[in-house]
Amino acid sequence: MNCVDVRKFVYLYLDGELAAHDRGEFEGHLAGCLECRETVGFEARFRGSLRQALRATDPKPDSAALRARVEAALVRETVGSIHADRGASSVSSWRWVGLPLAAAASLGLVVASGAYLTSRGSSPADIEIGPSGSARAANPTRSEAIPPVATASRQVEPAFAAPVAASGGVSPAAFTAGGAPAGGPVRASELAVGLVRAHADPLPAEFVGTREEIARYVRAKAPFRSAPPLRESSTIRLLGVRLDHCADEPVVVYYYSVFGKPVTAIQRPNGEGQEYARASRPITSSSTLGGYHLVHIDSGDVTTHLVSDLDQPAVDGLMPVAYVQ
Amino acid sequence: MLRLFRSKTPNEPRSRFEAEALPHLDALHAYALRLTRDDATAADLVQDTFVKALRFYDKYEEGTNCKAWLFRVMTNLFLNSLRNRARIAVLEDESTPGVDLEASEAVAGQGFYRDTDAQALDRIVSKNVEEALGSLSPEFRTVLLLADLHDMTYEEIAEIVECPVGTVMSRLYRARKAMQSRLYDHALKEGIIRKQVETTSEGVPSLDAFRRRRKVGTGSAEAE
Repeated sequence: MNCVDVRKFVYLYLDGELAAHDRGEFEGHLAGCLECRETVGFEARFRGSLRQALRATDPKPDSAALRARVEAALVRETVGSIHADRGASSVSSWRWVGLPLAAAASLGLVVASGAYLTSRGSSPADIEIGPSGSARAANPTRSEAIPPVATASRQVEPAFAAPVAASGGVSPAAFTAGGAPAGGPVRASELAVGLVRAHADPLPAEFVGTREEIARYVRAKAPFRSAPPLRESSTIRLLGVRLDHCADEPVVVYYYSVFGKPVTAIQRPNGEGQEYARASRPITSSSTLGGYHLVHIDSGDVTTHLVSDLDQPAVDGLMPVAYVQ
Repeated sequence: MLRLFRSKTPNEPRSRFEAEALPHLDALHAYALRLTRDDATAADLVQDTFVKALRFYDKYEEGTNCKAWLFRVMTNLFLNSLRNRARIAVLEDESTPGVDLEASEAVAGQGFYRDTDAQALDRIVSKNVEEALGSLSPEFRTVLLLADLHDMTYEEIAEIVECPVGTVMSRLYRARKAMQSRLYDHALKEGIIRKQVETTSEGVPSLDAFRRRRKVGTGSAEAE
């Protein structure tokens, strides 16, 4: 190895990339060459200074907002890929239920929902839930795509399952099979499917910010009194909010991350027709639809529906802790 | 709490991906800021990186170096987007013979070496590193950051930038020499160091010194 080689390989030497044999030759040359020792000494100092300076000036960005944005993008990406495989699994096939979407409403397409539904091949009224809890479609060509709808696994308040259709309002009970007349099918409500879609096929948040900023935004924009429903913590984070419609009702959709998993909280106003007697609030019930777990919390003026991928016991255990009463 | 993660849902791959990839978000964000030198572009790059990584998550071998894999995705997105938009500044330049450039860079290194003590060197580098880094072409900046900030081996860098190890060696050599050249210029301009011309005993510029510098330049050219 000569002086030219030393200059050629000096960085490999300093970076520890020279093979043992070459390293030996390199150091052998250095031992007998003052000029090369000085050169290598300078390069080592420079490399040290550079590495130190790069570390000292490395940006320490506040990534919280970006993290929320990335998480929302990942949710959208997942949903997109589910849709690419539609029909391939029973879990993703809930999309075929084809009820008026928050998406359609928010885009001013409510009046065009007929055409939209036609394109999806099934109308809301086509969906029926049998007494066994399995679902089927009136349109037989789509029947295989209809996901099973489980009965509510727990109802805190038995009265909750009482038929409330007479009230004229849309009630959470309307989509629990527990409210089904014995022996007869009950229709899955637009609301139930709309809720699941709002979670599994989310539209982008229209506003992101801190909890206070989001609360302020909702206060200014929402047509009813609404506030972020979950208490934030190190594991529960509010990502963003969207004002939308679900089953023709105005709703506020809050996007949360709970233990890194997406949880969607959809709030809608309780109609006047639901002023029936209840001993205490909030009243909670839960159900599943298409593999997604739903918790419904009626807290007087509003009902909050929580939709998530978490399994039901986890949601049930988490929500009393998290819910802001 | 384990129950939370037990459920088998369509989002499970995403959950696994998030658990493995999101802890690296801060490092990727910092890296993106260094690469793009712009907040909004960096944020876009981070988001695109995670989305693309999720899309190709099935290609990722669990238990291998997730951070290196994410860096690879980000680096590729960054370099490709530059190429696609034909916005790469004229590289210094892989398409042109590097001898002259390298000779001048090597000379700058020699000047640095000759004119600067260790303390001055630290001061010069820490003060001007950002500006000097920004003046490098994206390709050079990338390898320099991966090697000198993220402590990656040549082989890891080669995988990330998808080029042979020899190219990494060459780019890293030239990137460091270019940094020396920029920093030396800064230091001269700011009067931190003064250029000393090697002279003979008669007080005229030394031809031997000039030849030594040329020799250094030629030597570095061979490193290509």
